[in-house]
Amino acid sequence: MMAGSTWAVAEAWRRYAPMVLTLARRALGSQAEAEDVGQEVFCRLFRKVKSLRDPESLRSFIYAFALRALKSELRRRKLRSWLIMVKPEVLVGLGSRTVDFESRDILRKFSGLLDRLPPRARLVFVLRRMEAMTVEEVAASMELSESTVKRSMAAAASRLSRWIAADPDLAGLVRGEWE
Amino acid sequence: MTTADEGQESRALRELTALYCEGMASPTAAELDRGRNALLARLAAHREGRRRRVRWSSALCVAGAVCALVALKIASTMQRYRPRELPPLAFRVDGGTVLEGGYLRESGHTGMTVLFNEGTRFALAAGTRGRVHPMARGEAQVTIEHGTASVQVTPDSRRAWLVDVGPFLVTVKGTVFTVSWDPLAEQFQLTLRRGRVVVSGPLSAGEIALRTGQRLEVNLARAETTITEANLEDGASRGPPVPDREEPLPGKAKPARSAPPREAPAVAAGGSGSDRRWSLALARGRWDSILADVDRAGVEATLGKASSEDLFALADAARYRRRPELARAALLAAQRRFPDSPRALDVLFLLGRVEETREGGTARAIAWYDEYLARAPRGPFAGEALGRKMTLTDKLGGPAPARPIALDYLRRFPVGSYAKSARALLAVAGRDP
Repeated sequence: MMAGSTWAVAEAWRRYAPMVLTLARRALGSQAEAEDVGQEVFCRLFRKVKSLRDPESLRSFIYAFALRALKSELRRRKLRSWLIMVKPEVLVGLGSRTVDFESRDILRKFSGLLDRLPPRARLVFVLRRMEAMTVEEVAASMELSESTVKRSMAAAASRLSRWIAADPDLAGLVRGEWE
Repeated sequence: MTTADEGQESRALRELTALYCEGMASPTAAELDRGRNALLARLAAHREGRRRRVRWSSALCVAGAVCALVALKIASTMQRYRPRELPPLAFRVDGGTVLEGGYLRESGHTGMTVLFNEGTRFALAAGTRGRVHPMARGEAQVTIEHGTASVQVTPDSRRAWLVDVGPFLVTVKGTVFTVSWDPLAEQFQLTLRRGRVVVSGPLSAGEIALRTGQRLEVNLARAETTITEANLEDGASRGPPVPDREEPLPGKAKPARSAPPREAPAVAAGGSGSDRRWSLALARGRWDSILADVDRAGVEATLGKASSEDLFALADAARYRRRPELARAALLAAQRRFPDSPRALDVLFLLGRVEETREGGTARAIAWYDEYLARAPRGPFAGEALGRKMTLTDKLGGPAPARPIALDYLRRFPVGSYAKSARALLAVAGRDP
């Protein structure tokens, strides 16, 4: 990898790209943006790989790159939405085979609620609830204290629950209409 | 997964989160292949761009270094060939003083030396009359109106030295020479001891360039020009001794303002262009152009407006072209309009010379010489005036009335140019009853 060999690039992509792309999709809610972030993460990886002291920690090295890139992207997106008053793209490319047409509308609304969260709170929520990381792992990955992670997580969950309760379509889930 | 923060989450949120994760499935193999290819292409482009940047940077560095070297070379060349600013020229006079207009006046009877701060010196023999002109930045001019001067010019390509000797102009190229002008005999002589000079003036061959060891003699009265190899060991040909070149000059290291002459500012005020126009024309032998100017402007108008310098130049040009009436008019105009000029007394002597050439003017010439001798008994033309008076008196009334003049001449000028004639006249007068 340090020599920039083609095979090493392909191998690193094969091993770690699924992790990065999945995290990016969940954090950003957009397949296209996730692919851009994935490319950026791996390009930056090959430029900075010489600073990697312990080859065994390559996975966390890449994960840290991905989180930094996602945080920057979410901040840029927030700033863009404030400046140009345009709603960010919502779940383009969500088309999973396991999700039906009605569910897509619900998920688009949910993704819109996630976009309303501050970047750090959204990332904490994604890592904690979607990536199933512990509070300690989230704190280590995002270079935050555990108490900050807990506060961010509680605030994100509280806001999302409140916004869901206020939305008639999403509130139907509470009443068991989806089941 | 049961955690402390689960309590704040609604059931709907948990359901939606689970659905969201299911919808955000892992990328397919095709998506991964497409991403890998894009990454490889991007890295290749990045490497190529970096190589190109390195090449451009190297090329720019080399070009910059070459430009810097060329600029340094040009700057050093320009510095080397940039003419240094000429130091202002100043002078002082040993054995004499400087009058208004730069005219030199001898204090005693041993000659005087004009010392310039850059090393040039003019040693003027006793009785020699000269003038230092106002100095321009790249030109210096000294006039020898009468007598002999030994000149030693410090070579400097940035400054032209012109020595105005009677009707001749000597352009000096850095040299040592002796020059003399006898306005009575109208004889010019230059002996070049070192270097090179160009002499211009009323010469049949136009400008004459002399080399070391040559002597130029011009006799305007006889229209003779001769160039001979000078015997430099002959002390008589050297004129007054030239001071040792290595001797430190008192004013040499001092700036111009700190080394003024004793009785006049070291650097005279700049002269007008017209003052020098006819003087230079005269020095270059262009007498006809001066006379043509006068004819064009009108004699009366010229005599009424011309400067003192121009009137003297006009008088000389008219004398050389045998127009004594015009010469006389010019001198009388100079006498009338510039009675306090340093050359006012010279007019008296020159009027005598002009009257000699006019028909029946001998008595008037003697009268002008008498007036000159009365007003300037020790003047630069005193010897010549007395000698001419002796000659004319002899011519007019014979040796008897000329005898006391001859005795007076021999008493005052025992080695003067008329001494031989005076002794001959006394011998003849002694034999006469």
